[in-house]
Amino acid sequence: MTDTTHSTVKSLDLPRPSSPWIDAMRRMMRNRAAFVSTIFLSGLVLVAIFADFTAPYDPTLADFASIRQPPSVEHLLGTDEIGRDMLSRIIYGARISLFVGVFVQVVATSFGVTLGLIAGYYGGIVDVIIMRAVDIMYALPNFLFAVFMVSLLKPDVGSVLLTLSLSTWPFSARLMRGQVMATKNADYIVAAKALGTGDVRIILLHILPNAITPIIIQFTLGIATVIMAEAGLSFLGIGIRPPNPTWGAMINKGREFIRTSPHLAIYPSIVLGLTMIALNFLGDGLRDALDPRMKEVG
Amino acid sequence: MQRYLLQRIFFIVFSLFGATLLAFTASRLAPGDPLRLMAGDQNIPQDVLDEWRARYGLDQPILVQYGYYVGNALQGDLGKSYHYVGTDVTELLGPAIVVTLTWESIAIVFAIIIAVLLGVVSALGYNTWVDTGAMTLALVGISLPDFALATFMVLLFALRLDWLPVAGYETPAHYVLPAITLATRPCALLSRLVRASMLEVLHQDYMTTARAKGLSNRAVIIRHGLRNALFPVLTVIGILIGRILSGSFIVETIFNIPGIGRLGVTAVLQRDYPVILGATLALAVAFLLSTFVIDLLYGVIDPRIRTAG
Repeated sequence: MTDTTHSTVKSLDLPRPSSPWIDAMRRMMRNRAAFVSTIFLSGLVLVAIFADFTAPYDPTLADFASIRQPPSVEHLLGTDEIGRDMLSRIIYGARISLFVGVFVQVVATSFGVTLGLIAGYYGGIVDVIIMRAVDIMYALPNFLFAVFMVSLLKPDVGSVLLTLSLSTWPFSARLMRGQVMATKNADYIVAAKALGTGDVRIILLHILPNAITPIIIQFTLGIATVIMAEAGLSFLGIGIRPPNPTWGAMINKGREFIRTSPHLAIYPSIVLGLTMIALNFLGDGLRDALDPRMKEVG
Repeated sequence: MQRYLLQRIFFIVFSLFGATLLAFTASRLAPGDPLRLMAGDQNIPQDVLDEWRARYGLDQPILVQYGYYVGNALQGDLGKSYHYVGTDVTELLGPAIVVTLTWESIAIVFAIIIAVLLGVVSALGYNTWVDTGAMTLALVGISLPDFALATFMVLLFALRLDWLPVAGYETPAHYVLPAITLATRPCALLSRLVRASMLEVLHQDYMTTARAKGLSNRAVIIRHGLRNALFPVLTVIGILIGRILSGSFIVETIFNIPGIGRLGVTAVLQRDYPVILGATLALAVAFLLSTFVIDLLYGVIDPRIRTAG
């Protein structure tokens, strides 16, 4: 008798420990494009963080004896117009791009999500004020606004971070508000209210977790948008100034020499393009993994 | 419907005021005395500067100045450029808007046609290699920064193959590379949306009914499928057109097209605030109008909206 019980228990094929998040991660790793993108981005992040060790040369060190050299053993991606090592500049450029992308998204998403939560949850005049501000930001030509703001401020990383955060928050505010509106009259929220749960607790414990999926996706895809915007500013020669290596500025400078030394513009373009593609594949993979029902929205 | 239209118009006017007030305040708080900028290198005595300041209303509080600006703008006067002294901002904006509208409308039409084709083909071939291929292409299209794409295309088509001009705007051939550059991203975004929307529509009951009536496959897909599928896509087209219009800075700068984007960027670099404000205003109007027109189009496409309150 004991034996039988024992064997039954033993033969039960217990499922591996699982939660919606672990399931989602498994689904995502089955998505080949998202998997490769994750590896690429992790590699890029590591290389950028440890740029001091991974970059073969000082990215600002000019060597006028070897300008615009094609790729060689000494300089794997060649040298630029004043003899700086292209690979090292691209690596240090990754540091700036990734930092700007993540930082702006963290600030803008936190700000936008908070405002969106408040607007959606409380409604009324607060909602009107916040959402009209969002409308105005939507109507402003975003990039011109960024170019304008950065040109008014000091041309450094801080101004770029501030400006891009300012022009990015409305997206998550609008998204979050929509999510709150969709969940706030759900039975479990009404029940929580009936039990006397406070607003802050309801927002943090019940509404936010149920609305977090699209925010995570928007966060990831938004990093790509911000990196692109930063590169665009650097490309126009506004924003982060030389000799700091930024991909946008490298591509812009490289275009001057595109007839004779196309590698100056091509390599940073390829790295920037690959980073964008990886971020978008990752965002897409996250979307499919976290919420298989969710339809693609622009 | 009427009430809705009034609401929309109120919204547009409100947003325009907000956006211009923001840009106006920023330009007035900016470092650098506008009059000194206008004077350029000339040495002008202080009392003349003061007189100018009074004449242009620059000694008034910002809100009063903004009031003047709006008053003048409503009469078609956007002030004079600081950089091209004596030239009206409207004189600079007018030709630039015409240039931008010309080459960008090509890009927009091109983007929409390709996007609908790609989206419908992927949806019909759901989960086949056609679908995967088209959607991978779309994601790459979304990811490529316009200046990187432009650089590649100039290198390949203009310098290596010598098929198209590098930059400028004199002949239709000059429009090709900028139009492709500009169209790629919106086209990729739209094609994904058309596909998603089409997939949703394909399984509706009315599609089955249409087939059961014995309609040809093409008639079912175009008359019943596409018409319904394009409905949600329309809103996004409106937003995208607005974004395309305002997203031309980089492309116009790269290809040296004297449109509103290049005018705006040049004005920022020259701190020519009246021109910056004018460009902001023009682009905000373009954005809001395009979304408004799309709202109106809803009524044309979907009879349910026309009849509803």
